[in-house]
Amino acid sequence: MFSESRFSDLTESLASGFFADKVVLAIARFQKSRTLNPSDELLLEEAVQFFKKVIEGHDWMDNPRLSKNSMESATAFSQAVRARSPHVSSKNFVDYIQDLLNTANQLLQQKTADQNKIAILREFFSNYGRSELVRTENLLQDDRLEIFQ
Amino acid sequence: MEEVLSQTIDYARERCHALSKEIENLEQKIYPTASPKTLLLFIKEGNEIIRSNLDKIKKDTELYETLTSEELEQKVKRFCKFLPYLCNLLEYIEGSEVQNTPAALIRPLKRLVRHYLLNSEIIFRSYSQLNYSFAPLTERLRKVFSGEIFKSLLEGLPEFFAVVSFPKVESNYVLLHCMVGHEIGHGLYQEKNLGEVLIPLVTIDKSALDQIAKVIIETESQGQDVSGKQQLSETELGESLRVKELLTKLINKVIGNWVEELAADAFGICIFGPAYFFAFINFVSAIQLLRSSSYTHPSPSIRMKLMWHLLKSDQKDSADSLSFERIFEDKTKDFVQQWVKVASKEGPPLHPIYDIVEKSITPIIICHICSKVIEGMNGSEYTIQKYQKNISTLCDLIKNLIPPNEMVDFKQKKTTSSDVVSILNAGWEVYLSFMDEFSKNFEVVYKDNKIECDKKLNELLLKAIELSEIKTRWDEIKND
Repeated sequence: MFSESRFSDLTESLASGFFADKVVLAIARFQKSRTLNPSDELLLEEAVQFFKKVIEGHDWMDNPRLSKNSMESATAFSQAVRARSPHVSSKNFVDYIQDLLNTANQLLQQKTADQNKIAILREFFSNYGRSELVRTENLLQDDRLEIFQ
Repeated sequence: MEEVLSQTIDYARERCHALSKEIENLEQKIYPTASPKTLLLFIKEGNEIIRSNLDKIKKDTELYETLTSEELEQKVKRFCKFLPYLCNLLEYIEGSEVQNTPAALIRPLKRLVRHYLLNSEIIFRSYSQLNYSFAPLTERLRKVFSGEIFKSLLEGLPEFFAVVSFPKVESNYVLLHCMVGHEIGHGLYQEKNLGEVLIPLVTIDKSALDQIAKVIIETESQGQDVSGKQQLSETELGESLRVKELLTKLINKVIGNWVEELAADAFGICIFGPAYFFAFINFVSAIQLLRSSSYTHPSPSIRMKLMWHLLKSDQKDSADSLSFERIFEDKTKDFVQQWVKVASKEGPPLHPIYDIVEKSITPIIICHICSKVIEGMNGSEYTIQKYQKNISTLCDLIKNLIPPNEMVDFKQKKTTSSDVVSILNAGWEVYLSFMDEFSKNFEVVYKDNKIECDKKLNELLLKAIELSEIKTRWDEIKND
C-alpha cells in the first residue's frame, strides 16, 4: 500500500509531466506552423508563471518567508533543477531560467523569438517531462521517500 | 521505432482491458454507502479516456511529424503511467465493502462528516496498516486529470471527495475511531484554505538554515572548511544549487505538512471533544515514539501539547466552550495530567531540519492554529455544555450495560437520540473512570479481565450507535 505522502508526490509528478508534454507539443506546433492556437497560448502563459516561480524558489533562502506561494515555488525550483540542461552550472542557473522565461514571454507576446532560443525552451520542457517520467516511475516502484532521492 | 511504439500502445490497451475487468468485479460487491461506486465509475471512465487517447495517438500522423521520436515515446509513456495510477486508486475501494467495515458506524460517520463538509462524499475503508489516514481525492484527481481531454471525467467528480482509512485489526474498536475526527480535520483545513492564513505566520530561523547549508556544502566540497565563516558568500552558497533546492523544498514541505497536521488535531478536538484526545493517546502511545518527528508529522508530544492547549481551562485565548479539564472525573484528570507531563519533557536532539521546524512552531503559532480552527468551526464545536448535559446519564446507562443510544426526559415525557460524539465521549469517560463498576455488572473483575471488558464496552457502544442511527433515519423518514 502506498503512503499518502508518496501518493501525493506521485500525483504532483504525473501532473507536472503531463503539463511538460503539452508545452513541448505547443512549441513543436509553433516551430512547424508559426502559429499559436488559444490553448497553446494558455500553456505558454503557464510556462511563464512556472519560470517565475522557479526564480522565486531559487531566491527563497535569502529571505525565507513561508506561504502557499513559497511552497509552490519550492516545488517548481526543484523540478527545474532536475530538468536543467547538463551544461548549466549552479552559477548560471538563474540566467538560464531567466532566458527561458524571456523566450516564453516573447513567443507569447510577439508570436516570434530566436529559433535557437525556442529550441532551448523545447529542450527544457522535454527534459522536464523526461525527469518527471523517471520520478513517476521511481514513485511507483520504489519504497524510498521521494524527497531524499 | 514507430512499430515499437505501436506495440507499446497495444500492450497498454491490454492493461486497460484488464483494469476494466477488475472494475466489473468490484462493481458486484456490496458497499455500505454509494461513495466507493462513485470512485469506481471515475476509474472506469478515466480508463476509457486513456484507452481512446492511446488509439488516437496511434492514428495521429500529424503528431508523428511534429514531435521527435523521443518526445512521442515520452507522450505515450505518460499516458501509460495513468494506468498504474488508476490501479492505485482501486486500493481505496478495497476494504470499503460491508464485511470489512463496522457498517453500523459508517452511516453516522458519514452524517457527521456531512454536517461539517456539505456535499462531501467519503469512502470509509479498513486497511492492513495500523494507522488512520486521509486522502483528498478531488484535489488530487483535478490536478492529475487536467486539460481538455479529461474535462468530461472531472464533471462527475464530487465537490469534496475523500477517503478515510482505518486499521482493519481495530475495526470494531469504536472508541479508537474518534481518530477519524483528525481525518475530517484535514478536509476542513483544505476546504477553509487555512494553510493560506496559518503558514505565513510561521517564521524560520534564517541563520540556522544557513548553518545547515554550510555544513552540507562543506561535506560536498570534500572537506573544504567553510564552517568557521560567519556567513557564506553568495557565490559559495550559489555553488551548491542542489543544497539550496533540497533545503528549500524540505523546509517548505515539512512546515506545510506539520501545520496541517496540527490544525487537523485541533479540528479533531473541536469535533469529538476530549474523546479525540483520549483516542490519540491510546492509539499513538503504543506504536510511536512520543518525541519523534517525521517529514509528514510533528512528534506526538507537540501534538498533545496543542490538544491540551485547547482542553485546559486556564488559557485566556482558548475558547471557554472547550475547557473540559475542569469537569473531568478525578481518575480521568489524573490520566490526562500524567500524559501531559510526559509530553512536556525534553527529548533527545532531532534531525537538524526537524529541529528548525519544531523551533518555528512556537506557543504563539499553536495559539494561532487553535483560534483559527475554532473560528473555522463557526460555533459548531462539541462544547463543554453538551458534554455536561449528557455525560452522566449516558455513563449511567453504560455502567448498567444499557446501550446509551437515547435519553429519557421524564418531565417532558419524551426521548431524544444520542449522537455518535456524545456516545463515544461517554464511552471514554467509562473506560477511564468506571470500568470496575461496568465489569461488576457482568460479574467479572476488571483488572483480571481487561481485554474482555474492553471488548464488551466497545460492542455496547457500537450497538448504541447503530440503534441511534436507526432512530435518526426513522425520524427523517417520518418528517419527509
